[in-house]
Amino acid sequence: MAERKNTPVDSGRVVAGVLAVAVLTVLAALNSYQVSQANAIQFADPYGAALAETRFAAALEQLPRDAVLAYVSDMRLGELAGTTAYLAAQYALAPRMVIPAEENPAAEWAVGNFSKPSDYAAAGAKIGFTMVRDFGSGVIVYRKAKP
Amino acid sequence: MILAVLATLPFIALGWMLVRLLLPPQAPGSGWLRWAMEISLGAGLGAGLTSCVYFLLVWAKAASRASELGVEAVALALAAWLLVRRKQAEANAAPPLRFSWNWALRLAAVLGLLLFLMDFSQAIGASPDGEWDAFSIWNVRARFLAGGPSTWRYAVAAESSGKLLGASHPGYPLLLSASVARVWMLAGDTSSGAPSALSLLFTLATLGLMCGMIAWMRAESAALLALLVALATEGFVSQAGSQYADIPLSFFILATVGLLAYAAEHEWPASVLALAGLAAGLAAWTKNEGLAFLLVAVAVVVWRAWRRAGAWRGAIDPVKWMAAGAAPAALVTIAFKVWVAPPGGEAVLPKSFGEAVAKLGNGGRWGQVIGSFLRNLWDLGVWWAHPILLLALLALVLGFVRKQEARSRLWLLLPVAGLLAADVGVYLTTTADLGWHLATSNSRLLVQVWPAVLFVFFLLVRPPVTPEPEPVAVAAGEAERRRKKR
Repeated sequence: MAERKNTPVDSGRVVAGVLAVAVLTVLAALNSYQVSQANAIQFADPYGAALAETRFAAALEQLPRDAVLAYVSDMRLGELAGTTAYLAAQYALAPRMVIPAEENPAAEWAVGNFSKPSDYAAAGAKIGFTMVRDFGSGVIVYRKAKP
Repeated sequence: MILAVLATLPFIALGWMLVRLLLPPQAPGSGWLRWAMEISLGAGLGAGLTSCVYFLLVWAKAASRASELGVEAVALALAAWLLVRRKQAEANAAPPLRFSWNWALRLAAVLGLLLFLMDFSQAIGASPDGEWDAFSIWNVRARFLAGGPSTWRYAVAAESSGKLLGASHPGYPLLLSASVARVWMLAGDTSSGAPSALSLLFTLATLGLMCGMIAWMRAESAALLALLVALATEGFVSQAGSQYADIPLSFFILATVGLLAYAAEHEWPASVLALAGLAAGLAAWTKNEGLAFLLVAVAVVVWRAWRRAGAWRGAIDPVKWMAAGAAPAALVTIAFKVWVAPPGGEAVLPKSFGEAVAKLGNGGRWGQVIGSFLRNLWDLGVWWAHPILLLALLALVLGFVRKQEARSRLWLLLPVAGLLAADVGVYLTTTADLGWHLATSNSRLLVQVWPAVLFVFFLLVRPPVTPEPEPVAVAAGEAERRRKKR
């Protein structure tokens, strides 16, 4: 409920101050928008999450929805690029869980996320997986090699 | 996106009915502000409550579109029935305080909101899946939850996100992720639309709630000024596109503080305290910081109620009602922490008391933390329209309320101060690199408390108000006009 205890304030000084706040706010909001617009052009999809969704889309049908996947990559997890690529891949592949291959030896399925062309089959074989399919742009699906 | 928006309607309706049932009939004089407050408060509370229901259904392996909609339909029907049966008490609100320049403030607010929406749309266009924490924590956990009985446990698995520091947080509360997952399940696909729609909804609800509550307790002019200062706070509005849990948390902190402010000025009505408790409980279900906030808020209510009654016994009733309101979300949070989240606390907490004390005694760490807070305060906006500058300008031209009145409201900052003190404690004792910890989270702590700080500020300054002509003078003027007409 509005209170009536305080004396009303409606002097020229008050109106000037209040209108200054209104004008400055609109200018600040315009500035925020311009910064956002510039960032959107310069840093579109900065972590590659949207790109990962496109890259991994075709592989999703190959992988069971509740699988715990082993993760194989040529990007080191300890480095920013490797961490970002791993987290973007995890997001794109969810609800499947993705765990680095060395911590997930029991996995039936594995997914490869490579930054440059290489011998993908050999990379999988090194940790006991057979390449099932190369989906292009560095996305590979592997399955545990039968003994 | 359209399906995602449709999926939010049941919880907005449910929350709005709950607010109508529990808030006293006195409402702001201006119709649109009453609606803004009720719908905003309802939207946030409804989102929080339905996220609890969704999580419980997932935990019970009973989550499906039918079960979720069934529970919500029953709740909606019950709330509607209670609303229809409720005797409408006489609304005895004082006529609203007028300010002849409100039209200019409304115009600026509309322009500011339009620019904010354009800003948000740019941010979402560039990062549809949100910023780092959104796709690596909140939204990925939502996808695990939405995956059904065979995958929801991945959201709380210790191995999630490769156990990477800063990405793997299986013990984080689930309000945001469960809300997103609920919308995805109802909409039938896990597109990017739901997280951004919820992020926008919480941001608008926070602005609407702040504006509506200030109008409720002060005047429309003060409410519009608060909205303008919030829109000038770049650090706050830019968080909307990030899709993080900090704006939802800021909503629940604001709702708690605002409802407690009203309760304290109106003999601590039980229903308002229950709503405040519900908001504080949902803060705990949003982020770990919210749990600290809930504890501090309850302690502050105990102290205020004891001061008012002059005896500890007098504090029992207010605390009882607040605890009753907080119980649903607080119990879900406790159950989550005890039975669902993996054992072991956050990786950044010290492992022993001695380690914590040693870090607390390091003066360099204090300087680093204080410096970071000051830097992030500075980064809240551009220098020429910095929110602190705008507040200082308003304080200068409007002046503060009388000392006694100000003293009776300053306590509202205690829950916020308590939360910030807890945050400072975590920084001082963190086992992670302090520079990294501050750089990745400090700015967002200010976002969490900013709407509540603005709310209290506008309770402390005098609102701009145009003096109303005395009734006698009006009558005399009217008589004179009539005489001239004849």
